[in-house]
Amino acid sequence: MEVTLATLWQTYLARSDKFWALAQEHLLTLVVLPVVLAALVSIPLGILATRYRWIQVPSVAFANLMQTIPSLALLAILIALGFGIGNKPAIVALFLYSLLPILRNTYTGILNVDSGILEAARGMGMSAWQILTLVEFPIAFPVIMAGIRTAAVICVGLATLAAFIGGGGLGDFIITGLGMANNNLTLLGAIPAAAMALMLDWVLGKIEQWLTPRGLRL
Amino acid sequence: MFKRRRRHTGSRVLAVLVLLTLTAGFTAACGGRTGRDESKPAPAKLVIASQNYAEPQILSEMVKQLLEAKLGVTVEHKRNFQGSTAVHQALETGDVQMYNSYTGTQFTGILGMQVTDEWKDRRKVYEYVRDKFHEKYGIKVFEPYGFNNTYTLAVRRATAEKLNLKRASDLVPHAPEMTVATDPTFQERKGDGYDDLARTYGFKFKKVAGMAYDLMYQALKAGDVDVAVAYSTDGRLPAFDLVALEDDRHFFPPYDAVFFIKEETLRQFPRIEEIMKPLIGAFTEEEIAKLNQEVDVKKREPAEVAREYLTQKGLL
Amino acid sequence: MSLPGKSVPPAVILERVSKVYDGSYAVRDLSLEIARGELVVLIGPSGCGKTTTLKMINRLIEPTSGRIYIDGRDISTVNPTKLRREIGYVIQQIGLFPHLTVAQNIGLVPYLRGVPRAQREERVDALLRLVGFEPELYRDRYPRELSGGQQQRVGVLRALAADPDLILMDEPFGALDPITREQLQDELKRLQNTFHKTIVFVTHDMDEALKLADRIVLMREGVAVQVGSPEELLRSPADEFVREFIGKRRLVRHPEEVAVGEIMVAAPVTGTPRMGAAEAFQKMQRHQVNTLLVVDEQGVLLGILTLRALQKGIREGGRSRVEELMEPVGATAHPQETVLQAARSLAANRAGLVPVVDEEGRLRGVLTNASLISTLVEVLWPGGEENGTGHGKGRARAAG
Repeated sequence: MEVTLATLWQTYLARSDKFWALAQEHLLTLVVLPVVLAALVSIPLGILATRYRWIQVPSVAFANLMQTIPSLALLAILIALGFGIGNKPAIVALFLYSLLPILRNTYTGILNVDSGILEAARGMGMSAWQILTLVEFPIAFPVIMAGIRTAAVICVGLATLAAFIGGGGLGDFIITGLGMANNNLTLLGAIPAAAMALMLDWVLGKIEQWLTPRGLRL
Repeated sequence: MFKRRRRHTGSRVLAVLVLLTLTAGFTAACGGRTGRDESKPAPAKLVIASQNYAEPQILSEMVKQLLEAKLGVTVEHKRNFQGSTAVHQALETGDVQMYNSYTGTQFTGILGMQVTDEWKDRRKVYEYVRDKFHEKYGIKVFEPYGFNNTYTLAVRRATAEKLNLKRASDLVPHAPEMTVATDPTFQERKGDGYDDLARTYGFKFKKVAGMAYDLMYQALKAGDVDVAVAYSTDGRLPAFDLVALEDDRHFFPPYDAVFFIKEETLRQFPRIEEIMKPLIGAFTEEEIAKLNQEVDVKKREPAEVAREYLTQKGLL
Repeated sequence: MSLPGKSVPPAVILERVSKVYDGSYAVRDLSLEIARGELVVLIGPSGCGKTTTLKMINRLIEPTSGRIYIDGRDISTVNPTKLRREIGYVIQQIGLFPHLTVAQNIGLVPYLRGVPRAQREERVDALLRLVGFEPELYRDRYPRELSGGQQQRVGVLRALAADPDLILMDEPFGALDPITREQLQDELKRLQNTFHKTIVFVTHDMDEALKLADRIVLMREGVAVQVGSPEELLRSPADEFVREFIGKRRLVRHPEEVAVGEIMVAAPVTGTPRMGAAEAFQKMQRHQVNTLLVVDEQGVLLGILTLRALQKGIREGGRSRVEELMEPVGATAHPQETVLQAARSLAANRAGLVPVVDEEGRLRGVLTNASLISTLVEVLWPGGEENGTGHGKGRARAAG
C-alpha cells in the first residue's frame, strides 16, 4: 500500500472528527489523567519515602515491579482483577506505569537537597513542614517535574495499547490499520502519537522552566 | 543533574523516532509490498494463515492436519493476524499459500463492493468472490464450509428482556445511552462497517469502543459495554447467555466461511481439492459454534479441537 | 569591650553537659558560662566535641545529661523551633537557599517570626549596607551569582537579621580562601565592636581563635582542657597537649629563653679583604646596607667595613682595598647566647649591629637593631599581624 503525504491527508480528511476525538481522548483521558493521579500519589509517597525507610523500600519496589510487567500483560491482569474493559483498566495501567518515574525523581530530588541547606534551615528555626514546603520541595521541583515529563512521554506511547481493550485513543487507528493492512491508517495513529510525545515533552519543559525558581535555573 | 535531564530529552526524542520507524517498518512488512513473485521455487512446506480468533484457527488446524496426514507435506499455521485484510496481504506477498476467511469480508474489504439489496444472496456473493479472486489474484476459493458467520448485535439477556429487544432496530431508541463494542477493524470497514450500519439503522450510540475481538464478549458479559458487534457463530454467545438481535434491515452481507488457496499451489498439489472435500458443506452454524466454544470457553487449543473433530469423523 | 560584671547574669550557661554516642562521650561533663557580649571560641582537633557543644546550644543536638540555660531559661523547656529563631546560626557550608534571593535569604527568620514585609525589607537593606553591599545591586541576586565570600557575608547577615542576642557560628569561614577568610574575620570583629552580640564560635584554626576570641575553650575528646583568654593560653598553656595544639611558634617565651641563633639574620652581606673599594661600594648599594662583614675564604670574620669608612677612603684616595679600610671586629655574639645578652652587646655597639660568630670565629649571621626588635616582638607576641591598636588589648599588656 502506497503511503504519501497526500494519501495520509486523505485518510485524515475522511475521519477528521474521529481523529480529533481520539487525539483528545489520548491526551486527556490516557495521559493527563493517569499522570496527574500518579503525581498526586507519587509526590507525597516520594516525600514520605525520604522520611521513613519502611515506606521507601516497599513503595519503590512496588513501582519498580509495575514497570517490569509488560504493558499488554498488565492490561490483561487488570481485566482479570475486575477493573473491567475499556478506559478504566487502561487508565489504571498508565497510572501504575507513571508512578515510578515520579516517585523516583521526587525521592532523589528531595534526598539530594544539600545537607548544608537543610542544616541551615533547621538551625534557623524552620519547622519540618516549613523545611519541606519552603526549602526541599522548591529545590527538588525541577527534578520532580522531570519525572512527570518522563511519565507523560511514557504514557503517550503506552496509551496506544489501550485500543486493544476498548480504551480508545490514537491506538485505535494503529490497530485498525494493522488489521486492515492500511498503513495510512496506522500512521494516522502513530505519527500524531509520536508528535504528541514530543510536544508534551516540550510543553512540560516550558512549564517546568517557568515554574522553576530563577535562582535554580541554569 | 540538570545536564542529565537534558540528555534524557534527547534520548526520549530518539526513542519516539525509533518507535515511529518501527511502526512504519512493521506496517510495511505487513502489507507494504504488492505483486506476486512468480519465479519463486515451489515451497518446501506450506503455510496457512488465520486471524486472531478461534473459528478460523480451528478451520486452519483442520486443513493443516488433513494435508499433513494425506499429502505428506509440512504445513505451518501462522496465527494471530489482526484482520481479514492482513491475512490476504500475507498471501499476496508470497509467504503464505492458504487461509480461511469469509465471503462477505473479502467482498467488501478486498473487493471493495457495496452491499446493496441485490447482494444479500449467499450463493451470489460466493460466486462473485470466487470469480473475482480467480481473475484478479489467481486464488481459488473453495465451495463454502456450510455455515454463515455473520456480524450480529448482541446484548445481555437481562438487557434484552428489560428493554424488550428482539431485532436490531429495537435498539435505536436506547442507543444514545449505550456503549457498543466492536473489533478493531469493524469501525473502518466500508460497506459492512460501523458507519454504514449506524446509517442504515439510525443508531447514535453514546460511545463506540474498539477492542481486541476476544474481549468484546467478556466486556459485554461484565457490563462494561451494553452492545457488542459479535460474530454469530462465536461459542461465547450461548455460553455467556448473550442474545443475538435479528438483522431486520438485512444490512450485513452473507459471510460464508470459505477456504482460499493460491492456484499455483493447487497446481503443484492437485490432490488438495480431493483431500478437502469432506470439509466442504460439512458444518452448520450450531456445529461450528460448539467447536468455537471448546476454544473460547473451555480454553482448549484449536489444534486439539480440530484433531478431535477429524478423528470423530474418521478423517484421520 | 563590655566584660561581664557581677550583676549581669551570663548569656549562656552550660551545666555539666554531656553527650554520649554509642556509649562513648562526645562531650563530657562540660560546664561553661558565657557572658553577655562575649565572643567565645570553641577550638580543638576534629572529634573533640566542639561542634556537638555548639549544636546543643540551639538543640540541634540534645544533651544526654546536664542543663543549658540561655538568659536564665532552661532551653529544654523551650520549643526548639522557637528557640532557634531567637539564635543566629552560621555554618561552614553557608547553606543559603539557592531558590531565594539575597533579600529573601536574609529576611527569612524575620519572615518566620511574622515581621511585616515593609519592616523586613528595611532591615535587609540596612544589613546589606552594613557589609558594603549596595541594596539595589544585591537585594535581588541569587546565591549562585555571588562569590563564596559574598555568600558567607549574606550568611552572617541572615543570622543577624532577627537581631538575636546570641549567635552560633560553626566554622563559618573554614571553606573560604585565606584572603577572604581574613576579610570576613575583620568584618566580624567590626560588627562585634558595634553590636556586642554574644557569639559562640567554633573553629579549628588557632590563628582565627587568637584573633577573634575574648575567651578560648580548648577541647579534647569532649573535655575542656583549658579555658582562658588568648593571652592566658599563650602564656601559660595548661599541658603539653595545649602547647602542641597552639603551636610552638605562637607561644609566648621569655627573652632569656630565646637563643641568638633563632632570631639572627642568617645570611649577612659580606665582603673579602682583597675586594676593591668601588666593588664594595657597589655591593652595599645593591643590598642596600651600610656595612659589609669582611670574611676570609674559611668564612672567619676579619673585620667590619662601614659605609662611612669606605666613603672616607675613596675621598682621600690611596687606600683602595677593603682590608685597608675595614675596622676591627668589636663585640660579637655566639649563636647559643640568649637574646638578652646579645641585646646588651648591641646597645653598646655604635654600628647598630652585632656579628654572630661560632667558636672558630666563623661568621654565622648578624643581629641588627631592626631585626632584634621585630623578631622580639614576633616571639613575644605571636600572630602579630595586628593592625589598629584598639583590638590589641592583651597585646599591649604582654609586650609591656
